[in-house]
Amino acid sequence: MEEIERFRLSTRVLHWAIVIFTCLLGASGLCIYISQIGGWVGQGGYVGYIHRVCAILFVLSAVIYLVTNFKSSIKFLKEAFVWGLSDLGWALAAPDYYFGGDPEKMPPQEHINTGQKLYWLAVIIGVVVFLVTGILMWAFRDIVSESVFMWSLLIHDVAFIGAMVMVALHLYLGSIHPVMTESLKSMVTGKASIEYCEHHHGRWLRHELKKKESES
Amino acid sequence: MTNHWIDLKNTDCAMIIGSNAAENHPMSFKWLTKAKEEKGAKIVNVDPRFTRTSSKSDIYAPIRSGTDIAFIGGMIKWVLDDMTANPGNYNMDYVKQYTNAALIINDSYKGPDDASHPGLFEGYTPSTTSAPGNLGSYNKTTWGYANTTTPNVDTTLENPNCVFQLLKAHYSIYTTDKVSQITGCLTSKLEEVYRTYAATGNKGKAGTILYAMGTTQHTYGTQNIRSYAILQLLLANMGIAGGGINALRGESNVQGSTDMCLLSHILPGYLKVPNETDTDIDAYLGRVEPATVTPAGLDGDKSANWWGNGHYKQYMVSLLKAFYGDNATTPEFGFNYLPKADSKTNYTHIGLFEKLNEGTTIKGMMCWGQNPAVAGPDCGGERNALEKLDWLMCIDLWETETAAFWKRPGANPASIDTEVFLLPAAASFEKEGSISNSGRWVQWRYKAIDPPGDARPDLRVMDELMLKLKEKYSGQTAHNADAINKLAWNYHISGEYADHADPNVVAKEVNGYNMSTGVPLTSFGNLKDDGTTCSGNWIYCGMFDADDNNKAKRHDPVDRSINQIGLYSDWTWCWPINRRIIYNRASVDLNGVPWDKGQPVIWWEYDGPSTKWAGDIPDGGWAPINVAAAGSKYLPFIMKPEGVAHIWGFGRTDGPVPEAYEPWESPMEETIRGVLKAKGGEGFNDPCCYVGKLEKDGESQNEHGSFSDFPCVGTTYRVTEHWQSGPMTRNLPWLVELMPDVFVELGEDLASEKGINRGDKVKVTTARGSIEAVAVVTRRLHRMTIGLNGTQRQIDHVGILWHWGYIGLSKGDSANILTPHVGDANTTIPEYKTFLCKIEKA
Amino acid sequence: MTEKALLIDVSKCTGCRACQVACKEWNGLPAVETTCTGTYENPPDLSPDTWNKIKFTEIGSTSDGTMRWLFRSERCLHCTDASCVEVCPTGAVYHHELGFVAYDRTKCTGCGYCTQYCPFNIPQLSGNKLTGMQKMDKCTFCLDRVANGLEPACSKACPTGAISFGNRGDLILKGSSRVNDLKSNGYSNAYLYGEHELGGLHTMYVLDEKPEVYGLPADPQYVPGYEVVRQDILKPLGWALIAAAAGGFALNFLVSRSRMVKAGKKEEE
Repeated sequence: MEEIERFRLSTRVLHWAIVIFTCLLGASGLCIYISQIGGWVGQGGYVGYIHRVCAILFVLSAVIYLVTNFKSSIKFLKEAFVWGLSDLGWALAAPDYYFGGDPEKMPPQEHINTGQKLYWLAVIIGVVVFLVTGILMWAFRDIVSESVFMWSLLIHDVAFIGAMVMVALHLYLGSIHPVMTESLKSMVTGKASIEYCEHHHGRWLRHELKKKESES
Repeated sequence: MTNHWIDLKNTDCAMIIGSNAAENHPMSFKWLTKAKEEKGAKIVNVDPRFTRTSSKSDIYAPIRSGTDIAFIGGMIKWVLDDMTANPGNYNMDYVKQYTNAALIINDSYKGPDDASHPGLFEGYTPSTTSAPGNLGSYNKTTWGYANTTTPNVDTTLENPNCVFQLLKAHYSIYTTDKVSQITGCLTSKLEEVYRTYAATGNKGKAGTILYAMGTTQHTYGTQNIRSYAILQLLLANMGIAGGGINALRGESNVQGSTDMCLLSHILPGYLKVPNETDTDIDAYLGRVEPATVTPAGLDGDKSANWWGNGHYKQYMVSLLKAFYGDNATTPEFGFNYLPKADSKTNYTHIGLFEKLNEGTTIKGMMCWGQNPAVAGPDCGGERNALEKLDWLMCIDLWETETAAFWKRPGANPASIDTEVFLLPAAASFEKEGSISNSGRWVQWRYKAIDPPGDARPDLRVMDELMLKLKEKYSGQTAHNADAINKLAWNYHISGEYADHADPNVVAKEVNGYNMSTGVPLTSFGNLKDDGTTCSGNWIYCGMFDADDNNKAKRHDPVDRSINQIGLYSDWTWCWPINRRIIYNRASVDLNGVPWDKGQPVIWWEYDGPSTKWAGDIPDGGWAPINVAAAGSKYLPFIMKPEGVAHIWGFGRTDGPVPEAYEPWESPMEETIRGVLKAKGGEGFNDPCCYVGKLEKDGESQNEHGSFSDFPCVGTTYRVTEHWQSGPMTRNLPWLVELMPDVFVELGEDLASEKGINRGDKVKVTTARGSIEAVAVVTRRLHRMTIGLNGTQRQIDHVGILWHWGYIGLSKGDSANILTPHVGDANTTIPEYKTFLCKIEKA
Repeated sequence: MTEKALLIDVSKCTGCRACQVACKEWNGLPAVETTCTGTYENPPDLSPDTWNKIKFTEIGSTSDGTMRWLFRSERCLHCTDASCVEVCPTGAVYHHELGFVAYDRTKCTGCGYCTQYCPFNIPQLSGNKLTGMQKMDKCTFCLDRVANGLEPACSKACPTGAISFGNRGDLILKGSSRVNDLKSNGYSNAYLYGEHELGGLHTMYVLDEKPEVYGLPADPQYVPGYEVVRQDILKPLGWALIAAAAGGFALNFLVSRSRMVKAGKKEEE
């Protein structure tokens, strides 16, 4: 079966790094949410330590990626903020599509579809919220007023709940949902079948193929 | 203390003056707090600073440092005036029958109000030498009773030459206005204090005076205490529960060390030190033993005169037997083995250091738990004096500033030839023995842990030293060798103490025993003058029972006394003969009925199988005055030759009654009698005070400062977090954390004038030197207005902690760099509490 | 079990700080390096190494006779409605059966919420702020002593009887009677602090001035609104959302798979 490269190695490394750090961040965050495990793993204060270290590594990996893939990163970042009519088409078709409807009714999508774009936007906003509130509570604890701390904590928590739902959604769609047969595979190997891409990222595929033709 | 710590709970009013009891004697407030809570007692605090004690007082009266006599003199006048107006409010029977108020004084006595010698008593001669010493002295012959053996008495107290009238005349000038002008205390506050405290003059009310170094450490410290004594006698507060004059001792065992002759003028048990005129024991006794004086006309007709009547010899001979054992043979009992003091030499701390500084007579020094390089007056000069020593032995828990004087800042070790030995001492928990607290309780302590390293108990060091001396002197026959060779020294027993002195053996010797049977004596009444008994300290006789049990080891925490006033008579033992409140014969009326039936100390039991005293151990078992037969009606103050207490105290060197003088360095231009400084020179501030001399290379290190150069009144003191000169606390991190640096306290007025903010480094300077410290700017000190006869001066106090020195975990400048080498007229205790200084930002 | 408490009678406190040192001595807390900043008070603040300190306050003036020097032992008040217990995510801070607020250091994750929410600013974090490897410390009520029938070190050391230890009910009676005494002696603001505050404190104060004068909030508040939202609304809401999402995914999976299977069959046909 003919395959096409969906994700470059650096992107995949970034993704999986982010996955690891997010899991650790979530787990360590949960420790101060679920008293039973918190008391058990909290000895020596390592939970807070892990949480902070992962936050740093999370940001660091993103920054490294940004620096080493500056152009594409900017482009990718921009993507989250570019919306058009085609997104409306996706929105109209999505409910049926994701409940096992006729894939043909879904308009062809870009490199990331509108749903993924929404997710991407949520990630960007979430990271900013986590970062701002986290840094406030960490480094500026003694400087900011009590209520700023408390609001930060509250927002951090809200963001956490949101993130849990989003991560669950991402996990489900990426690896379990019956339609998304090659999503996980492509993030592991970097490649997806032409057929899969036709169905899921039609516009992008056409564009890519054209690019290849002109190159050859 | 005439009373004891627990007895503070029985008071109706406690006047704390010259003491920061809450700070330096925290446990005192356990009992004062009880008095407040359970009896509604009032606490009055008189102090230049608002202290932690003031914070728990009902009335705080700020006075200028060193003006106690003016303050109390004003109260004495207030009481005397009130006695005339409202005699029913006072215990006049007590005043007439138990004090010398009614006794007639020599009519040629003239007081400081006499125009021929304003401000002075009769008989003054100024000193003419330039040697250090008292500025002047008195011929005291006119100060005594008109009839010296059987003084006449006027119980109406109206005879103009009776003590009561002389007192009235003396203090008539001490109006609240004048007192206010001297002390800086508002008249309204004076009156509030006077009214409050005078209320304890009522029968059935008790007032106590608590004092400490703020009272004693003045050139007229003795007279400060005398003023309290007069007040307490007028108010009938001596001998009763909740009353008395209570010296709060500055260390846990100061009482014990005083009892055991730490001071240079006494032997153990307050027996006087022999001097060069005492060629034999009879000459000594003839000089020191007081003759009995019997007032003619009081209801009591017999004076016990306890120091007389042969007791002195019993105590002295028993002491000599304890010292020299079998070598103390008749008729002298080894009296001449005792070193004799030179009556012209001052052996006190100040005198010793001046002699030391001369560099000719004193070659070596043993500094035992003392740190004069920090604690001595004018300690900059005293540090220099140490360089004159050939050798110095220091015994302490830590290296002290004294032990390290040769490497002090500014010194050149290469030019100092003194050989220094530092012996590590065991702490109180690391040795066994007794301490005597302020309440005269002898309390046994056991060893909890072994001392670290080579540290040894003081007794063991002394024992080893003495045995070595005996070894070195053995075979020598010179007279001075006898003092060592003839000494009975055998304190090794067995077990733990097989090789060094057993404190239990020492304690038994201190108590005394029968020389032939070895059975302990149970009362000083059993001491003999024939050499058959020994006692190392007659007032401690009775600490043991006849079965060799040491009562200082008793720990019955229940007050089993029938009067239930907190005597706790079975808790350890107290001298004399477990009498918890001394002078207690004065707590009952002529019939033996307590003035205060609510909290009786002793009472005469008329009912029951036999008539006798009940309650505390009475001051002598004789029946009450109205019960006893004529000729044996014993007067209550048994230690006095005349059996009554001294309102008139003609034994002092500087006056029979306290007069308000000024400190050596004073902001005042004149005294209460209007005597200007200009007339008598600087020394006229206090005509008899001791002014020392500490020179280095011909230059005085004890300069006098004037008000124009040094406009602030300096005073020194301690805080509860630190201890004395600091080695025991400045090396402990927990305590250093609480009080990390030397600081000075000053009021907000002075601070803003000098641009000093809280926490700034400041420099305090006197004519002797200067120190740096952190400024504690506080509203607890304020600017006072003083000045007699229309002159007005604004003065500020600067308070300085004296705990610091140049050795230890926490280091800092020593306040005593600033203090002068001057002392009390009677005792030469240094003037630490008042001097002139200036303060500026460092 | 009967609730125990400490009653601190400031009118009997002489500020000697024996309790401050006794606390360090018993609990093995090291000295803090300090400097004199122009006051008797030191160390400047409570810290992981200082669980009890005397606060010194000067009011009034010596020249007009109104001067007062106030001392208060500042330490954990062991609230019944204890914010620290409420906000502690791991249950490290808890109510001991004797009533006071105890904590299990091994369960502490160092999140520090207790330090933020305490209305008296008592709990202190030790450790590395940067790494977050921290532990909370505060007055333990000398649990090790009290559990063995001894009184806490501070009350044992107090020379004047300003600190008493006992059954809370008895101490309320004692404190109330002291307050009445003080009132009749002219201290009209005398007040037993802790009888009712925050459901009842286990460190109570007999005060002779208003609480604010002694640095105590007049009306200390239990955890504020956001924390209630966080604990009581947000947390369950979060779980509910997750559950709803999981349910949704399951439904989606089943529906979409069956529809796809059907569509596949059609295609095969």
